[in-house]
Amino acid sequence: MMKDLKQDSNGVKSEAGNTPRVIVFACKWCGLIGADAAGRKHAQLPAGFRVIPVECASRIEADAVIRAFSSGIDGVIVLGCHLGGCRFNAANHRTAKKLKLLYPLLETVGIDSKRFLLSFGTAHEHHQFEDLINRFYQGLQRLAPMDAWSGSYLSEMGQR
Amino acid sequence: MAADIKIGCFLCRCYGEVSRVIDLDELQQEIIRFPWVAFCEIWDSLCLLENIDELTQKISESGTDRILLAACSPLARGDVILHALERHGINQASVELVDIREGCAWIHDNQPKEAMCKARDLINMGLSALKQREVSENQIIVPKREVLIIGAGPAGMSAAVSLARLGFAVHVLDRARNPGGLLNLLKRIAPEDIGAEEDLHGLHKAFTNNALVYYHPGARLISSNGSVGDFAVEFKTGDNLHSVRVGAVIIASGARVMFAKGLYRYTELDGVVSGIELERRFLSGDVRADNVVFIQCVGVRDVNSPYCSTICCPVSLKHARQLKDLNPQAEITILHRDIMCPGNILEAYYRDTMQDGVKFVRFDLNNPPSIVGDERLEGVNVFESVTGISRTIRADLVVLSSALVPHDDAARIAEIFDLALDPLGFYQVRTLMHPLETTRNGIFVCGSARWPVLARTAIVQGEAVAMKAFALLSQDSLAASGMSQFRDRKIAHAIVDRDACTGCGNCVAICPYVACALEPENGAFKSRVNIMRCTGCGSCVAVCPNGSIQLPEQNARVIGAMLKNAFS
Amino acid sequence: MSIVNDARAIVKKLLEEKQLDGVLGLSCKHDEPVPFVFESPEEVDSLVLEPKWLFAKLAMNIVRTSPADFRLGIVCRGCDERALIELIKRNQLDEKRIHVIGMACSREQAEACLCTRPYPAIPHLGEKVQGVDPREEETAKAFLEGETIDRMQRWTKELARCIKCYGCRNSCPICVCVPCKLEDDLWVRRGEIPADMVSYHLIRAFHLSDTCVACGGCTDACPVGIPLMLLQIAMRESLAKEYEYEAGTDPGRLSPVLSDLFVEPCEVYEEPGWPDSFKVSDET
Repeated sequence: MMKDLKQDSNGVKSEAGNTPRVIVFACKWCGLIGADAAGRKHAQLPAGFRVIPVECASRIEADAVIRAFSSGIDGVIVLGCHLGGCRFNAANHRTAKKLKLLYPLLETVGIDSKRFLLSFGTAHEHHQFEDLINRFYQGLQRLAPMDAWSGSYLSEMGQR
Repeated sequence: MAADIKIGCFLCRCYGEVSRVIDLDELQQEIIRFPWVAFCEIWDSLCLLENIDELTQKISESGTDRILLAACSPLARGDVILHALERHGINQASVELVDIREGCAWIHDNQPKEAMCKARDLINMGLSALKQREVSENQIIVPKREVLIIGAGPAGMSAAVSLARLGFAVHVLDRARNPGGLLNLLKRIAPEDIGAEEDLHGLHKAFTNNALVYYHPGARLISSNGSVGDFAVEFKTGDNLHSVRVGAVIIASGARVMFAKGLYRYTELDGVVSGIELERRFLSGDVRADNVVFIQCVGVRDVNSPYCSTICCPVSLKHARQLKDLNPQAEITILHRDIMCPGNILEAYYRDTMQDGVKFVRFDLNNPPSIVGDERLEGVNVFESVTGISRTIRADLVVLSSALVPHDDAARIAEIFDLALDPLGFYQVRTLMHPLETTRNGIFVCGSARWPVLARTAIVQGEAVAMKAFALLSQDSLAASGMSQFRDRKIAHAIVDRDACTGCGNCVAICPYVACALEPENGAFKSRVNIMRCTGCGSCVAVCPNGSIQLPEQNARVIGAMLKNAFS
Repeated sequence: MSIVNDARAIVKKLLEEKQLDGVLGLSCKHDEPVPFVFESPEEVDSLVLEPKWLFAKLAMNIVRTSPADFRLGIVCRGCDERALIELIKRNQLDEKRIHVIGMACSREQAEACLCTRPYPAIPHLGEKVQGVDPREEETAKAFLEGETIDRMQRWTKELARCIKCYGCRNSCPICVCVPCKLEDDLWVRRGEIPADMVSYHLIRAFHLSDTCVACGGCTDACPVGIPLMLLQIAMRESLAKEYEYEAGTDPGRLSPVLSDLFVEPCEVYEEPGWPDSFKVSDET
């Protein structure tokens, strides 16, 4: 039971087989522009991600990221504008600092930090967005699906 | 409320662009089975003019108040549709645009099965978001058509005169007793080469003679309340307290001349003076000197003050020319790290000065010149960065070019108006192409208060902010929903559930626009949002410990519903 | 013990001189030590200082329900005082209404709590001892270090015992919200035992990311013995490293994550190829 969750260092797809499920929180002024540009270019991307657009990345609460993981979502990406270029008067600074604190917490409980990408100003062009999604997926492929993580404790209780 | 929601859905084929990858008919069959969906239609396009008319007709006939459009990206034609619907009276908050073209069909051309799953999920997310969405409150005010201007230097005077000419009353607060600001300390104004006593562009006369300009000399700003369209400001002149209600505030408080303490033996040797001191000497009488050395970049363009003070080079050129006029035989050398004279007028000024025989010697930041002389000034030793030669230039007068630094009152004024100062101490303006507007709506900044500028530029900036203030206040009314910093309409306003609010103050601390404030209530504190200031960024929502502050259009239940329905 | 005598002397004096209207501490006048507000000097003979008992939340409620001129003293350990400061910063308590009588913890207590700062700002009672580093304690270390997969299994096993009694939230001095997100079906699935581990415990832990004072109340309260305080250690270390910030030590400093990078700067980790991205662990 526990052994299926071991990371396969050869980079082969995890036991689950399906494309990892990813939620992308993108602000409309940078991340979404990159996504739109990637779309116009017909960049072919893995189909497992869903975008939730927000007006500003500062709207994204850590609880939503945590809730995403607890629902069995394998990866979360938060895209905001460049740290010097937030239209909402550096609101993204606070987001950066606050969400950055999620990493030590996730690491403590064993949720690999490769599952959570917090990135500012790196996705407003089509190739950047495309590259970001592809590389994130590459990182995820090496990890067991999140379902297994929250599912494993239910098995402990004999409920699976 | 959520139980009675009936949503009307429109799926767009985009003339085949979407339908060749995603089977819209199958999607339609699935969608109409949901009890909260009133109808689901497939159209070839949604964005053409005739489409909009038909859309609005269909929507009003069907009686639904929530619409889902599954079409292209908002950046493509999506926003066009939304704006057009808005003009036909359909609130943007009641329409959800789901991108199944750039966001689905076009990036998963090669995976039609997965694209279908994703389209289904995206539409589910949109439907669930619509069900949870609420509408923000709004506020409409009639703006006060008076403006407060802080400072009566060239920028302040210019703003005042421009606004007065447009029929707006302006209150001008001046710390000094006479208008003119730093111009009052000058003999000549660079690069005009005109005397300061001559009225700069007739500005002084226009300022003093215009009945709509209320000049308050010797004023001190005390407090300010309110927001754009209606600021209540208190100030004192002497012992008298005044109160004004204005629609906008213009900060034109200027900058201060730096005191070169500890640099180049300033105040130790008689022969070492500052640029502003030299100016004073010109005002009180002629200055004769045979050997003059100017030192530029004094106390600026280093790691502590990494900026160029703009005025120092033109001013030193001006002084050099004045000295040459008085004594054509004088040996004048300007020691510099770069001569900053942009534009054609200043460039010509520089060339003329060189042709007059003034010498220019370049030194490096790491190897500044040093003053030679124990009791009396003898000269200046400089390591020329171009030739690599070190030499001493004879001098009976050394002029340290005076840089401009932030005004000593800047922090206090910023505190009163909840403005931010940049790391150097000048007023901070909004990012991205809004050079004269602060992050507080209705408060503008111009002249050297923002950045050191020459008098001519200060005047132009004063005219510019006057136009911005005029454009803002001449509207019949100001709606909170329109007081975005960069959009025609805000997405939402934050609202506090006062029963749930614990008064922790997180929202107050984090709001980039100082829009939240705590109010005492029964021994506890509750937060309240000033919606004229709120821009709908959502920072407060993200830090509220129990979700008592929300953006109605994108509240926590919307996000939660989208997460729940993201993967079927 | 003499520390108890010192305590009784201090409290008696404060009450006799009418500097305070009441002092919150532990009383042994019944069989078990219970929290008690000593109002007259005679009562103070029953004051005891053991066991560890956190008074911050109790003090907050007493102050709220007592008359406006009632000044309350509190016999406080270091963590308790830090909790009081955090409550003051969050406007839950008026600092003018309370007076702290600080007590430093013993070495044994510090080790039991894995406390890095087992003393208040001013210890009126007891001797300051050096703090303990949780990462040097074997069982704690297993929850914080080692292979990611082993850590995950360890935490999974622990959190599976959770019976969702809400004891951790109730005992935490900082958790005062009514309503609470942990009771909202949107965030934590209701009617499920054990609690949805990821959302219940991680949401709770993250809400305390910048306000946890490491009092150990959560661990003490847990009826099934989950070492909940260990969830907070990494975040506290991150704040200390990035901003030199420790919750509850400076009443004048708000959490650094609430302001922009000009006011409270931090290092922006640049992973090659991911400019402006944040990543804490090193890429192998």
